[in-house]
Amino acid sequence: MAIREIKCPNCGGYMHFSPDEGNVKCEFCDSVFTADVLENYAEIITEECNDEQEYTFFDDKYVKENATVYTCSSCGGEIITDDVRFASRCPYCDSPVLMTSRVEGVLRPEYIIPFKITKEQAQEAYKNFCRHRPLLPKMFLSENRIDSITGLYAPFWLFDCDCGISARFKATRTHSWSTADFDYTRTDHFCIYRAGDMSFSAVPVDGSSKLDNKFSEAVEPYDISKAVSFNSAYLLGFVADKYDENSEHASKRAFDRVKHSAEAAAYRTVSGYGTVINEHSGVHIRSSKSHYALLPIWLLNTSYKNKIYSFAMNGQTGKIVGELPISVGKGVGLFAGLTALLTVLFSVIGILFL
Amino acid sequence: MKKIYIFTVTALIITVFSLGVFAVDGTAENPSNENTTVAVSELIYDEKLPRVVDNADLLDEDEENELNKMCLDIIKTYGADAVIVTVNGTDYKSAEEYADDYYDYNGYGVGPECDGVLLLVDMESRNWHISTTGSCIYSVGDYGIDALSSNFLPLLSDGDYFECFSTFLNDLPEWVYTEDYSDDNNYYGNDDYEVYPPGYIYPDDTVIRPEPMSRVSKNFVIVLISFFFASLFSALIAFLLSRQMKTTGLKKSSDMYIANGGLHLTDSRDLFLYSNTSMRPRPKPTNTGGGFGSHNSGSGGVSVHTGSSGTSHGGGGGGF
Repeated sequence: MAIREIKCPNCGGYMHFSPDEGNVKCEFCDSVFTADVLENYAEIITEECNDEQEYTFFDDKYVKENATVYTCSSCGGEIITDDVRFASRCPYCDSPVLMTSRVEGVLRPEYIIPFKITKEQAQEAYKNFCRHRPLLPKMFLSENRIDSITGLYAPFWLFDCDCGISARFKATRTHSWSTADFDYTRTDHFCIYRAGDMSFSAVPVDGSSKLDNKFSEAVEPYDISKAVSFNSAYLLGFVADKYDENSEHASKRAFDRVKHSAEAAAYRTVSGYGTVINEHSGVHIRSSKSHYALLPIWLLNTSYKNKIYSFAMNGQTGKIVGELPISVGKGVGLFAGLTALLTVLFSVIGILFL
Repeated sequence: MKKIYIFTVTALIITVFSLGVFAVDGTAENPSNENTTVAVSELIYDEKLPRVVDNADLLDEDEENELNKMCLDIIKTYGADAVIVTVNGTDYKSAEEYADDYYDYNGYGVGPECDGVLLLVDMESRNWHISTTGSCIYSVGDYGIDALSSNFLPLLSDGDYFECFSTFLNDLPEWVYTEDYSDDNNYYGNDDYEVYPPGYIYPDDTVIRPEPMSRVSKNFVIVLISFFFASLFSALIAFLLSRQMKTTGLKKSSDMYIANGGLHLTDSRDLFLYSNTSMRPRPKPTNTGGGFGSHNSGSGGVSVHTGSSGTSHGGGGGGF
């Protein structure tokens, strides 16, 4: 960008050279800049990059194999299994309909992380999750069917990428001093520029629209180093799903997360200032590869009062996340009881000691 | 089980609030028996109180007695109380608060408006303060404070305490004596307000003195405040518990998947743009008690404030 097109670094307004000041002045905010400063600023504006992604998508390099796919007539969720017993209840919407089946060619994944958590351990973890919850409605525990907890291999896209980040910040430093009559405050304004490279390995994005991202991301991280080459023997006794969001679609989610990490990393390199604000940042994904993998997850969906409450457990690390309904009646009762108790306690202490 | 639970809770809450029944109005109709009041020739004041309280031990016994006599003379002749108090430190209160409270809570003052003037000298912070009450607020006014202090301050600074206080008491009558302003000479341009001369007795004579809050109403306030904090705490607990019921959510970043040691900076520039300097004048400490007008004709600018007992006071002070 030629220096003539540069706008005021403070307010973005038009600037002109002022013969009185001997410097460049902004017409809107009256800030004054030297010519050298503006030249350096123009360099930064020219060099910084905007968001850009160069992905190559290899979806077609994957081999297709025949498998039996069951579809839920209630919610449209799909599972792949050879064991028809698993097809009696949909793991996504918890409805007890027998799923319809067909044989289809599905992509053979590159990697799989086998289950390390057993069904008993998963059920135990679920019981613990629901225990000691004063706000949980009593009927909820009796209504869920802990036996129908499903061991699901969820389809994920794993992204490796190298990216470049350039970030521009506005920063200030203040210095105060006083004389007998006045308090002075001097504020110095800076333009901070950081550019660098970062690499990411195996950023996971779930490829199933039926498995909500808020579960698949909440149970992260998976230890990808323990992933092995795919072998359909691992699927025996478990259920798998196939992707319905291709890697191009998934790459957008990966990009958002990568950009956030890169911006945060750049921000952390700025120090010694009072305030730092990000003005502009651009992430350029230079090379990336996507891998199709199946990752293990224990899933239990319980419907209660026409809403689905889900519980998910990382099948490799055991990390659990879930949603539970809140009983308003119990909440109010707890609040009233605790308030009454504490009022008595505080009053007694107050009357005795004050 | 649940019903019993609700019942207990409701019963507890009702009990707590019914304690309010015992709250008693804070103002008393009669003064407590500790202060015996003596009516002497139509003036109501407490003769037994010492008018010179020399906690800082600046005066010897003879000097104290003489000053005390001068104070009582002022009361009998002019109908306004005069008190001199010296202390070594005012317990975290300002001099103004200490002087006002000392006057109010010890029962000084003449008549239903508790007219009078108190001079406080604090040797620890080297502050003096004059507190005026009742009709003396307006008769002395801010101008009077200045006039009185300009006479006794040099003596006070020099350490001539007896001379200082006698000068003060000699000058005082000129400032406390007031005429009856109830009709024509109304200062305030406000026909509703009447200034009674010091010591005036109301037809149905009720003396109002401040009294510390009764114990039961104090307890009620404690219960009320406890309830407030208890409900705040309970709300916090309930909120935290409800948040734990949902642990799902998208991840913002991919920090867990950073490879090769993180960000490798290739370019780093910190560019100074410009500088702004602002300045603010520093506030200067001011002396209180400045006012306009003489004590005879108008006191449009008398500063009045309310003490902790609820009684209004005028006055001013400074250092020495």
